[in-house]
Amino acid sequence: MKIQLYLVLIFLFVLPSFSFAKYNTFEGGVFTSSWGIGLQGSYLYSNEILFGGDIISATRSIKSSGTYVSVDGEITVKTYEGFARYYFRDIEYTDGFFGQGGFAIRSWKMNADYVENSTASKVGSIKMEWSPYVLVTGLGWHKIWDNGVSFSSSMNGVWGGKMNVDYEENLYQFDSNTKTELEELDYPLNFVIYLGYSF
Amino acid sequence: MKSYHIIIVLIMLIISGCGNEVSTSTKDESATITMAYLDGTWTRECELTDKSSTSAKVAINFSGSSDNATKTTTFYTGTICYNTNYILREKINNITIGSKTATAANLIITKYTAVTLDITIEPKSTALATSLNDASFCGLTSWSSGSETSIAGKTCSSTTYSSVNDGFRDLVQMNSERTYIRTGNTSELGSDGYPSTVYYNKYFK
Repeated sequence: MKIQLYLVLIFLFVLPSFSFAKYNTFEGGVFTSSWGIGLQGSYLYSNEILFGGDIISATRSIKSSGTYVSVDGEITVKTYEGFARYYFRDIEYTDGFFGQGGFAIRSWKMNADYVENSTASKVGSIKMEWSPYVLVTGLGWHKIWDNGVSFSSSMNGVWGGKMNVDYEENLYQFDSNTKTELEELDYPLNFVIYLGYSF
Repeated sequence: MKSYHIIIVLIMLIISGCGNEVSTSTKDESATITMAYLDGTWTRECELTDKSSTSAKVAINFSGSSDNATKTTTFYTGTICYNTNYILREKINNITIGSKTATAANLIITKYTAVTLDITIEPKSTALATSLNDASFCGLTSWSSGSETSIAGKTCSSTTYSSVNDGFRDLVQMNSERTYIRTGNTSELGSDGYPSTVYYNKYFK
């Protein structure tokens, strides 16, 4: 995963400074999203084109205790993204509307064990794993104020991802409703609210 | 707005949220029950009976080598399984283990069939034997303390017991670690004659 981090950093800071040093405006900030909390950096290449990258991380504990069975698990989501953004500056009624596309390197995993309370016997387990490389495209709106404060919101979708769900049944058969519910949790969309500073 | 911008926006809208292609696999890690796995004595904890002032303890002894089993229910006059009153023994043989399936509640179980070999009651006190003889319990007057008397095919109180050589159907559930089993709830039979639910209390080896 260190290699992926270096790639993102190179994409964010090194490449822009050598290849695209034209507009010379950088930006950094934090955001919250459907995929977790993240850090974002970007380089405004021109008035219409921006290159950026971000790191997103989230860990959620899955705990549930029923009369007979308890569920104990965790979902870990780490995402490294690089993207290019195009601003539609000539739209009359709003400035800052953009479309973007890029790639993401994902390390997304979920494990949950179902355990019988009275005996600690394994009733079943579920493992979910997502493919590491996907394309991400989206639409959003970005505003930079004169004092440098920057805000954006965007909706992004995954393109070309895969999700594997492995069910292990020990004492219990997972029914089709449970499976359908789980398989719909594939996080295909990422809604991002970003706050940053332009310098 | 230029027309190519509209096209770009539309393309992005279309390809956004295509999502992840989902693939699934299901692995059956439940115990595949055999007579070898069942072989031995499995015992339930002491339980209060319906009357609450008395108690009982149930054990099943499976014999893997001869495909038979005896379910022994020991009834006590006390609440914590002391002072034995009588013992009910349900004996089956020719056990045939079926394949794995699941109940309506999705519990993985294995059905099995057998043949009733005998059902007996053994009074453990002379007072009880005398009382049973006086009441002509199960239509019998040959009760004796410490001796088993067959009640197969008899009606005792409101319960009618299976006759010798009657078919027997039950189910068994075993955890993956093979440390306990559960059997079927014989008071809830399905249309196929097997219990449709699992009795919650467990037998430990």
